[in-house]
Amino acid sequence: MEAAEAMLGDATMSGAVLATTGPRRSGWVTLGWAGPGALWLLVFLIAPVTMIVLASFWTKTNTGFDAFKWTFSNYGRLFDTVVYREVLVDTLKNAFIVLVLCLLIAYPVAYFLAVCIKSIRLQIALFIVVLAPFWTAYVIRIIAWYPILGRQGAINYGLEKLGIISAPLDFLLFSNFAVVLALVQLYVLFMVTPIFFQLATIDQSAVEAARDLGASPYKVFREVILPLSLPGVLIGCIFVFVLVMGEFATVQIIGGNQIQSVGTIVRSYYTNIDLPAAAAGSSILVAVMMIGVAVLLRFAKLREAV
Amino acid sequence: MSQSYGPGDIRRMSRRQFVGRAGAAGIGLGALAGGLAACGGDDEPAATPASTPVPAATDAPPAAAYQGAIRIVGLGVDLQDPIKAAYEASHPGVTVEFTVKSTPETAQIVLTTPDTQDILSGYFHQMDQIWPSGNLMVLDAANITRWAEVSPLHKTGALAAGGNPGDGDAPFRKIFLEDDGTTFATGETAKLTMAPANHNSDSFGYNVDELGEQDSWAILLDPELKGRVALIGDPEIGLIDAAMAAEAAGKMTFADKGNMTKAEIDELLKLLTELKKGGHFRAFWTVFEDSVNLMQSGEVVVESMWSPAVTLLQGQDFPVRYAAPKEGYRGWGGGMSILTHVAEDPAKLAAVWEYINWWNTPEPAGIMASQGYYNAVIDASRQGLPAEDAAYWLNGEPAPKDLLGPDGKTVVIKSGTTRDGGAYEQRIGNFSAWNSRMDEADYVLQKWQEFQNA
Repeated sequence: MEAAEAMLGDATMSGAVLATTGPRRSGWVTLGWAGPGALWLLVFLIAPVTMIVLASFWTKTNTGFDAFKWTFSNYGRLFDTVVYREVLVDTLKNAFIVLVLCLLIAYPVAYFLAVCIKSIRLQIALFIVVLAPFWTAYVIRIIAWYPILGRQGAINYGLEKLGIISAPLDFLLFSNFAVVLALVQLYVLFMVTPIFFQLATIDQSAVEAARDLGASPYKVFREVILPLSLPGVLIGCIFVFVLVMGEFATVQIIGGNQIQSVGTIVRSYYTNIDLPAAAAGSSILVAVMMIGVAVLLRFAKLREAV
Repeated sequence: MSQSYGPGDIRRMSRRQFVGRAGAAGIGLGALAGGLAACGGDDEPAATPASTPVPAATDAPPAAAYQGAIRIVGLGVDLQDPIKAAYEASHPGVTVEFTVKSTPETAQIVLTTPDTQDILSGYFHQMDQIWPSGNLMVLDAANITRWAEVSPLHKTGALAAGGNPGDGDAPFRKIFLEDDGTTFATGETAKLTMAPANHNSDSFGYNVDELGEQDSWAILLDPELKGRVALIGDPEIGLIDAAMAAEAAGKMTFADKGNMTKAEIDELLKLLTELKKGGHFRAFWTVFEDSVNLMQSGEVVVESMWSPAVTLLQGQDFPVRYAAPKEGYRGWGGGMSILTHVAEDPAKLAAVWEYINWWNTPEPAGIMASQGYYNAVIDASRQGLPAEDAAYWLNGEPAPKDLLGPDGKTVVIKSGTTRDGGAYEQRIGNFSAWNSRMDEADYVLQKWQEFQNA
């Protein structure tokens, strides 16, 4: 944005003199293209995040906050007990597990769609089928697990009928297992989609060339398809990681409030009208997410260099 | 003369100090509200004599009738479409805009963006938190048309002499203000924080097919029901339910369940944490629908519940009962407060008072009563219900016919059924505790987070 402003200043200053020269005009064009996106980022990303970081230094009062008294104590309060630390670690752990599971499920699905299906029409039709769960409301998709995982749900009922268990398995619902399952179901599409599009853009002549040079199907995948699909994988990973780290509603509903995430902790502060602590909790979360994304990017770069 | 129940001195002290500081710091709204009440409003804007909270302004010319919107923030409990339709039909030129939020969010709005709303339709237990902000106006009881008929529950604490008023933020403890407009008063005064609107009693719902008849909170901690119990996830209300259970089971005693000490909180949560680690609690629910799902899907057989959730399941012939606990109910009281800024527009202030007074008339009271909520003026509920409906909802008699819900179409109560807990006087006659804001609210939250993460 700074760059855009500088450009704007530059262009305005010299515009009067050199309004019609080529490079200047292209500067305006660039600005025109960059402007809406930059404005969007400023209003919907940079401004709110800045606000949250600022709010994390406000002082909590009995009736809300004092925005004129600055303090670090909100961060101190977060770490007064082990809860926030433990939950942060648990959330990272869950994000990692969900990420890996999503990747394991999504890659074969995307590969099948993009590489094995040759008809474009069928490809699109099947992709729409993959998107089908997104046609229902978010909460419905979570609550739909109750009749499957519950004490009297399909799985427990089936296992009991088959005589495998004598009492219903409680860990299936309102547990970390349930949370991970629901999150994978909710977010696997964010992994499938970018990988699918990335795979679909791979130039088939590269694959054919590898084959002509005698590469085995495994080698073709390992040396050609996988490296070329990595940007899609990376984008999918970032999506899933960021979404899971920020989750609270799914965790709350399917975890029955027995499982916590950073999101649920932040929400509980918010519910207690402790905005400064909620902001501090969010700020740490944002920082951790940025580090996580940076690590993912670095990881991908290394792979590309191989 | 400030209130003197439980260890309230700290609470009072910090409130006074806070208001003092807020005034000094130039926030000034608390001082303004206090000032208005104390000085009788010499420099008040003109207002209509019939419905102004400022007695000294009676010689001012009456303002023109207000045309436009009244903005009300509150919960879905009372901010309903039938209510809006009824008000707008009887008050041409005035529209009501409902902003439906959760309890903490309503407080947040009143505290941080008070100018966006005219009325807070909230709860008496929010007053500890909101009142010191000065964003709410001191109300004059004389402006409440049916004040004389308002339930003693909102004035003295118990419906009948000798009744148990219960621990915590009962309406009568949070409604009256001293002359300074900042301190809660123990006895009746003419200065109010809220105009009384509704009240009701909450308890726990249970599956009667599985458990038989139950009448003690102790069942929530019964070890035999391991894994079949849920509590409400809200830290303070969940803790109060648990406290009533622990007390009923003879495991603990409390000086004031509505305002626990740190030691009591620690002891109670230690008990709960042990139970939780042993898998005693199936879940902690966040929203109304969760509680319905938990009971209906057979995940739990007993849980904290709200009356409409039980009614909903009973309407579907699910064998759920709403307990009438012998130890007493957990009560809640709702009221309406006026945001301070409304005083700047006398016509609007009059219109706002009109809405508040309309609330205690048969039409809205009837809409609410057919969902199980009691109006602060119980006669208004009675007048608003057809005799057949009143038999079930208020008199504890079997419904003489199928009763319809507020939509006028769906049968919610089957002919022949009796309301759990019985008549109004029985359901409102015995409180163990009230929904409360504790002095140690921050500590409660911290410990509750630890508990939920255990």
